[in-house]
Amino acid sequence: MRTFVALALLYLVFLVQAGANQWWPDLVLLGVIMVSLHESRIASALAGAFAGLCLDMTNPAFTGTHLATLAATGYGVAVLRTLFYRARWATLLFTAMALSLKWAALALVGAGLPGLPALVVSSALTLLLAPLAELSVARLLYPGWQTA
Amino acid sequence: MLRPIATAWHDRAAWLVILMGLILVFFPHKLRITAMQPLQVALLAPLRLGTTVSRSLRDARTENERLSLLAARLAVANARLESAGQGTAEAPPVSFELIGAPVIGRDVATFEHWLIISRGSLNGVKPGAPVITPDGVCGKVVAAGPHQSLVQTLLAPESRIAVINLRSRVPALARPDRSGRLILEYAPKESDFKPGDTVVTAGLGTVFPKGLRLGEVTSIPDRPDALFKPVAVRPFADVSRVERVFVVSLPPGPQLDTGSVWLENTAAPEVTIPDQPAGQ
Repeated sequence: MRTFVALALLYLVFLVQAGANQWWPDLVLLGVIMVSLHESRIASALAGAFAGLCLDMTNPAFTGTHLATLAATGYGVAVLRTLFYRARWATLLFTAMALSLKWAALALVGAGLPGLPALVVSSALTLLLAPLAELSVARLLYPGWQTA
Repeated sequence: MLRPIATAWHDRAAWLVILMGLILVFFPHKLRITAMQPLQVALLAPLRLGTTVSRSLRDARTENERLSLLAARLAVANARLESAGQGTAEAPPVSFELIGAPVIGRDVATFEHWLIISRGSLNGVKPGAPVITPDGVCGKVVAAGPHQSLVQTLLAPESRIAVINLRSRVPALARPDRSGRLILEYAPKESDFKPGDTVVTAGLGTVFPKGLRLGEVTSIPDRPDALFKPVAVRPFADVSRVERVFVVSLPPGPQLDTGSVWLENTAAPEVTIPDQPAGQ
């Protein structure tokens, strides 16, 4: 049940993200990371795939790029989180890695990256929001849980 | 030490999901677009709905503003035509411009004595200009800043408006009482006022042109000892709830300048009020 609520939350975040411009933080990516900090490996991968599929629908010409990237992000975070015992900085590390993976994948398939200023601002905002997102998602969906 | 991964079924399933994504990337472009179309429609439906509703609301708001402006123009024109039809004198043609203005502030004591509107001298609003709603007269501008103006409503204690009974053509002076009504002063005891009569502005001053709808006679209390007939009038415009008004920008003309000013308080001297910064 909690996983379905998480998927619904990711979909809502996607709807917000789809109406935003390229300067906004990557809320969907943050959502996938936050869900993956608490869910199982398969649930994290599926949540990432679902969020990625939603994002791919905004540009069907590159369908699969976000799906693969976010599924890999979800799975990777779910696997790697066991390495860091209650380490808060791990969230920042995961976010930075996921952002790099996403931008690299988009560049690789030729989906087109936003301009450098927008890319830097969006990434910085995403990193800044990560601790806040972790706190709010943990309190909202996983009260009493601890990351790692 | 890191546990070996991709051995349990859920790890394999997760890898499969990632692999599916990678396979999708290498699908033929046309096939991808065709296959994903139904899914795209389903997933983006809330966004489309939101956009449609937002656009409809914006259109409705624009249309509402346009119709309000039209209604105000028609109300003024109708009142003047009625006045001309029942009066003895021909109504002079008046060309006027209506400046729509949202109400952005009120006096905190009663909410109905003073209004602040978000149009000022830069929009063509001048002190002394009549302020109306589609229902009827609302008040007048007493001070205008560059972007905002102060409006004295017809229920402000200082307000006095020269009026005339649309049916019997009896003139009087409207002043507010404390119950949100208007009381007509100086109406002769034998004058013809009946409940339901429409009262319009008399045009005897430098503020309100002749024929603007003001209110309806509700009661005529029987006071044998009074010198004049007390007439209670309910204003057509509900100034305590009005959210948008129209400032009548009248050109200087004989229909206003030649009127007697003894009945009506004249416009307040021009006062410049500081403009608020944008966003406040």
